[in-house]
Amino acid sequence: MQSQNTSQKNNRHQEAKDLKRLILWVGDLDPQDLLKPFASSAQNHFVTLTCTTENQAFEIISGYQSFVVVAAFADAKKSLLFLEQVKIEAPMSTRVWANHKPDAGIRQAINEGKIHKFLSLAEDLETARSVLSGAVENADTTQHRLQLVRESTQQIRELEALNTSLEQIVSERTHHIEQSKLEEEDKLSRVRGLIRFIKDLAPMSSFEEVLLLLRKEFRKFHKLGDPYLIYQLSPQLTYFLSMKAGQVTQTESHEPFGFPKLLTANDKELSRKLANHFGRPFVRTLAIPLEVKLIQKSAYQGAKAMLCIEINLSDAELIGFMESIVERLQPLSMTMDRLLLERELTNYSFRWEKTFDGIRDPIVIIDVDYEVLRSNKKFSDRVVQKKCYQSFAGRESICDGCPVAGAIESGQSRRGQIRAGDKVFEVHSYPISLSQGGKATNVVNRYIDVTHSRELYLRMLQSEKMGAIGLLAGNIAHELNNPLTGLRSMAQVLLTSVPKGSNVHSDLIEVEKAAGRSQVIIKNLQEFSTGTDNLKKAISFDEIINKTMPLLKTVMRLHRLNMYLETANHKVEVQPHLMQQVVFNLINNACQAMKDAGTLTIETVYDPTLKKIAFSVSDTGPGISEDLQKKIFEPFFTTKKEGLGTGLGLSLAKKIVESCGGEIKVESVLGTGAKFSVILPEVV
Amino acid sequence: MSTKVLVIDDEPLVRRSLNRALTAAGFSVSEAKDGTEGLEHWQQQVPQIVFLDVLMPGLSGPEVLSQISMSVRRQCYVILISAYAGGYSLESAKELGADLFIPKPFEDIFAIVEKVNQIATQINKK
Repeated sequence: MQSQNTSQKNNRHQEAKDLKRLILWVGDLDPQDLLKPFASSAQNHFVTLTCTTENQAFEIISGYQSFVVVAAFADAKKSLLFLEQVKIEAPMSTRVWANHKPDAGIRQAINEGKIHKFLSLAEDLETARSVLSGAVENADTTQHRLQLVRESTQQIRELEALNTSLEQIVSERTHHIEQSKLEEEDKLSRVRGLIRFIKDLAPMSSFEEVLLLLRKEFRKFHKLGDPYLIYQLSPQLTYFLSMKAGQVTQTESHEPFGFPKLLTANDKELSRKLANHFGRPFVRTLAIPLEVKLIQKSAYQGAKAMLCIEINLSDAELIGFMESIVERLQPLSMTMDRLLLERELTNYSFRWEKTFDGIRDPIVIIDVDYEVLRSNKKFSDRVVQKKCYQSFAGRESICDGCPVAGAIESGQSRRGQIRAGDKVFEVHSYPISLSQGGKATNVVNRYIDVTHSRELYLRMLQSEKMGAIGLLAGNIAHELNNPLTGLRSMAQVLLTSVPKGSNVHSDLIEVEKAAGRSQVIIKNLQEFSTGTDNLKKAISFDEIINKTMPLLKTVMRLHRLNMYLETANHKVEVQPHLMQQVVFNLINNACQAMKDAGTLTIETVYDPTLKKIAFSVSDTGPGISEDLQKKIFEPFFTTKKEGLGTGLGLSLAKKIVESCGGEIKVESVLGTGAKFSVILPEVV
Repeated sequence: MSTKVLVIDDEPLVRRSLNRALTAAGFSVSEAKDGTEGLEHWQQQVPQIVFLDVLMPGLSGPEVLSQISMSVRRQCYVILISAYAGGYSLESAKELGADLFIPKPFEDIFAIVEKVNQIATQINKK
């Protein structure tokens, strides 16, 4: 463009150079030699022409823009008229009035711009020529100015054209930018909408919520029905989620239901199925399959899902809608996938937890620091605290007999017995290693309540022991009875053969008495251990005590004994050998409680108003605290060292006394001793 | 001729005390220290009254009773004595072929001597 402009300019310059300047002499006056120097000048390219009439002149000047016209009519007036005419026709011409003498109207004509110069023919040739030269200069200047004006006009025009084209370009570009800005904004808002949709999908926890979200999402498209979410977990059962009065309702169908593989509109079969199911006609139904992939081996493998919407959109709206759908299809499918997996997981978890809770025994999962991670209901019926022993046994340290440490150490299951409250549990600890081949990181503890079976076991042990003692006592009794019989009989025989009052006689009497006492002891031992009489019988409590006392001589030998028996004439109905056990246990306990020599007081008192017999054993031992008093009659409670007591003595005593309609109780003041009382009703 | 009494018991003091007491009461007493010896003496001497202990080494009292010949048995009165009272009573002793059961230990040996006197009187009446 620029180069083109330059060449145009050059051309014009050339023209200007080539442009021949015209000097036209018009009129009846003769120019004589006046024009000669101009005509001969090759440098200046003058064209000098002469004519006599105005018409000829106008014909000539019509081809020129700038020229010098000399009006040389003898009639001055005619010259002036002609020049006025020229001024109108060619305002850029240089007009010269030639005459012999100046006319009166010259000054006015010059002032009015009608003529530029006056050429006096009366003057010498030189002067006339200089006037003409001046006119030529004037014409040149005019010509030059004209040229400049023309050029600048040309330039202005070009600039204007340039400007116009620039403006057009700018406006075009602006429009383009505005267009793409709009497009970008549109795109951005779509992407934003999509992101928002994905964000909204993320926390969805049910198909119902998804459906509500879709409904909200599609609300901007008018002429669109409510969405339907249809899915199958197995081919036998199809679920339909639909909107009803702003609420999501789920219906089911056992009818076979085909899911399209591709997005389809107006599937007649589908419309028919939907119409059948919902009991209303479906028109222009768009079926959008949701790709449910699910992980392999999932319980819902083969699950299918789709979205159905009734549409009544114009083509333009349909495009927007389809774009929106296509964009949302993948996040939607993924959400469906996630929800199905979550549902499966929840199902598994639910089933597992139900199983876990359904187990009768308490079960807990703990870590290596005994912190409870999970527990079943049986375990957590108790208030769950941090550590298993806090929760389960209400302790602040690891339970005695806890097998957990051993299980962690060895990586093998271990068993142990612990005590929690008044119960005894067998604990099975199974170590679990979450990292392959690593050390156990968790332990599953199963607690089996063995209180009852342990009690039975110990009771069995006790009764077996007692049975064995009974058998042993029977044998010993037999073995002892033989020599004792001989001993006593011999003493009796010998007594007859020595004189009365002699030393031998009194010695024999002592021997006979000792043998007799021994017989009584053996008889009592036999009765006590074998329980020869299992039937209740009426007997005085004093008699029971008297029969039991000989068996306790060893344990009582350290202590002072006070006996106040006052119920020899009042009977109770008991199984004598069992009640003997009660007496034996109470006295034995009292003696064992007194580590140093103390006083043992055995009393029987009759209460005539209540018609009850009270037997009591008091010691001067350390006494029993109130806490212990509460527990003392519980089975397996013992303060004795391991192996010395089964913890059953007092509980058995309680049972025996209660089975006879009586009661047993303890009173104690710490530091002064304890008193156990048995109160039994009198029988007549 | 005095009544012959045989005491079969493995406990020497029992044998001796019975021997002394009964001899003093005018009986002719012999002793056997176990079942086998007792069976022998019984067959040879044919006593009128036999004290028979139940639990003895070798032959027990009931075994002796089952092995004694009926002719000899019929001629005497058998008193079963036992320290193991649990399994025996007068009835069960009679089933075994004894005539009387006296549990050991004896409270008073002279009460037994008195009893034997009564039995001897009855035997002699026949």
